[in-house]
Amino acid sequence: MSPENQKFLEQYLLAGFSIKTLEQRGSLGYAAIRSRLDRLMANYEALKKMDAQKKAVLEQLRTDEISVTEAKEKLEKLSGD
Amino acid sequence: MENVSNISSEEELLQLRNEGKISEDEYEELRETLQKTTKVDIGEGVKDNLKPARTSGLAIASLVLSLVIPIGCIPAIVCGHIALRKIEKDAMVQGRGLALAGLIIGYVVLGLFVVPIMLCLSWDSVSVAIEVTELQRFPLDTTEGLITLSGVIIDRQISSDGNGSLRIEATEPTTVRLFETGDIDIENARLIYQAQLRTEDVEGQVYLEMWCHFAGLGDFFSRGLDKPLTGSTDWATEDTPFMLEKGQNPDNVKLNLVINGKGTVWIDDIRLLKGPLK
Repeated sequence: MSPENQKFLEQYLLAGFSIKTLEQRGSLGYAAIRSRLDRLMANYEALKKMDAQKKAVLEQLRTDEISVTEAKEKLEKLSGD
Repeated sequence: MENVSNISSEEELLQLRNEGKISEDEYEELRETLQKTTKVDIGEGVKDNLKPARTSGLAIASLVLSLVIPIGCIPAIVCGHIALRKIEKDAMVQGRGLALAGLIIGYVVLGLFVVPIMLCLSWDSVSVAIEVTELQRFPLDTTEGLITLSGVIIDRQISSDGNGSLRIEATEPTTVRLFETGDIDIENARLIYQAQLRTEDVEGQVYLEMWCHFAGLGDFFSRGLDKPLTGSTDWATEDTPFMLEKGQNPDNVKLNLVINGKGTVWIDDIRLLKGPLK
């Protein structure tokens, strides 16, 4: 996570997870804060999903269903490369 | 930007290496791929969303409409509620204050102007309904009191109230004299002759006719020619009014049914009502 986002989440934590308090303390408006949080949550969900897919590929490698080369290809496809 | 830790899949990869499923080189190769594929950073795209939120058009409309007194208050309330809902759902939409202002003004105007006006109007209609009173009633379940007895029959099968009606089969234009009320002592009021009528294959017009006799002046009539019946019609309430000014007190009222042609007509439940002049 970028230092900027880490700082943002830290401020959110220190505000007691209250957008209103964070709004009063900082320079961002309510809509901007909420939008940023929404995006962070959405991307985190996407990361978790992708990680699960990677694990599934590695699991196939463990059970010898696929070779290392095939695993690499599959992992690359996940990223869209 | 730093990538978010990918512990789960990386741990899985590490285990594969430790278990000897893959060599050190293969491990490194796959680890590199894993890290490369972790391109989604949870901070991505945030900047795009940091653009200023737009103000809800509905919230503005709510406030503007609320100032159009009094007709704008209801649209203002509707717009205000929709705007608030959208603002709550979409973080990029602002204008909560405007919507609230529109709602508050809308409700205040509704309470101060619209509701009292509606109450007044409904009270007027209630008053009119209360003011109409029944003077006499002729149910026409029997021929009792009926003046014309030839060419008419009590029909037990077809009636508006289920207790029978008077059926007239006219072969030529005719006026059926039904009842006379005698002196009913009424003036400065609207005298209404009301009845239930039904027609079948009527050629010509069917309507109610009321004659009021005034001592020294003679007879004056009122006919329901504004909405006469013709052809075949189901039961309908027909009426004809007579405006009686102050001092105009009829000493007799005649209630007739005019069939200006031929056909079958049923009449039932005659009422003589008294209502306000205006």
